[in-house]
Amino acid sequence: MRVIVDPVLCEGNGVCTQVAPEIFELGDDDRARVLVEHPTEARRAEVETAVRRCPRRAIRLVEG
Amino acid sequence: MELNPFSYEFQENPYPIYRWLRDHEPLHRNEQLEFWALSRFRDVLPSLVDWATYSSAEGVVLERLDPKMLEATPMMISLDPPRHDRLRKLVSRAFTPRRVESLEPFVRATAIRLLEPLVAEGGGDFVKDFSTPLPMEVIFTLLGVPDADRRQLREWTDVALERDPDTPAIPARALEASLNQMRYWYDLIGELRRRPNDGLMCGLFEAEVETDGGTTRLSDGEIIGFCTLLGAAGNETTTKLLANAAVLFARHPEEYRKILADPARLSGAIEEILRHSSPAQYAARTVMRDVEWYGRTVPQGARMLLLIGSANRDEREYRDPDRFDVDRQIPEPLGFGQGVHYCLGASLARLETRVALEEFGKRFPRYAVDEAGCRRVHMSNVHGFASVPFVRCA
Repeated sequence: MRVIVDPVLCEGNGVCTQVAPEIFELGDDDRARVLVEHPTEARRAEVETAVRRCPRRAIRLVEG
Repeated sequence: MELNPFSYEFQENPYPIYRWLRDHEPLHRNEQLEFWALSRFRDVLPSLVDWATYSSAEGVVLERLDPKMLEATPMMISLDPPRHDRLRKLVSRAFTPRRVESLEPFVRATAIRLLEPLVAEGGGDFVKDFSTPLPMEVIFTLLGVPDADRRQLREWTDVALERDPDTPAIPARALEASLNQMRYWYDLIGELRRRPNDGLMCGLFEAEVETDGGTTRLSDGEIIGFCTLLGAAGNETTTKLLANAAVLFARHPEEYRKILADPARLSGAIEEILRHSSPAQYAARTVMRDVEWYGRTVPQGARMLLLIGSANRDEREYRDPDRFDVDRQIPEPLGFGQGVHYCLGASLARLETRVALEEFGKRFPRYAVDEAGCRRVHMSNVHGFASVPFVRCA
């Protein structure tokens, strides 16, 4: 799986960095950055939580 | 049972009707006012997010807004992507949690200044003396509105949102207040173009907005739209949120003691206040294609109310939803909406509420609200108090 943050939609609310701190961090531009673009299956649950809880729906999970 | 959002009785206590709707008509139709409504959490949430099916372009209140007015002073709240996104990104950087954090000392100093006379008096009106002026000073300072004009401008905002009982017709006084407000912003824009200050508004003069072909400057109408929206949104909803908090904590002193004893619980408590007593009770949308709900077809072009206030009390989502519990876990908060229209000022509202309640709590660790003296506002989709008299207790 591949994790993508839409830089236009992201407004740095920081929900993803709280639920999956090893996958996302907040950049200096106040947008979330993906630290691990292709996380292991073990991380799926927390990435899916981040996708679901992002208030701006700025995160996408692409299979493969 | 019928849902009439303009009924004063409904505004006083919408929750019994919401419960009935969730249980008996999760898709509700009001023939007379010609709208549909969704009330369950799991129906409201995805619909808020699905902007392509549920459009904001005809406004997010149930009242019919003049399309010419919507076009003359376009506001993000009543635009769909891509135009919504192009406008929103001009201001969104000013409201990120990190930028908002830098305002904390100013918000705190303002809160303390406003609370001092209340301490001396041993109480006052929480709304008039505290929850109204605090957000007003914050948002108008951010925008760059001169001190002397703030009260008048704020009053126009209030009146512009007032509604008469039982009718969706916008009262003449509200239309007049809207026009006064617009005229004020127009004049201020002219003045600030000549003599700029460091407010957000002046930043908009230089901002470049994308068009399909290239970029362009914002028109005066677009700047007026921004100012009207940020001014109203920055004032009205935070004022309601704070006063809802004051009333809830007065009714639940045991919950109040928890946040006083452990201020770290305050952030969670704010989410619970938003859930339990949401200032924004619903968002109206226009349905862009036929949609099926509970075996019925809602036709393209219909108006749909997404009842956030009801979703937040849905027993299918929250255990014992009418109970106010500062330690409740709220994984998917709805109080600020969700998706492209997620409240731009959410971080600012959370900061103002946290700082206000911290400083209020230090000065009024025990207080009582005169429930009989409380008065509610009668606005379309914003619920809350116009007056909350309170006194300090020994």
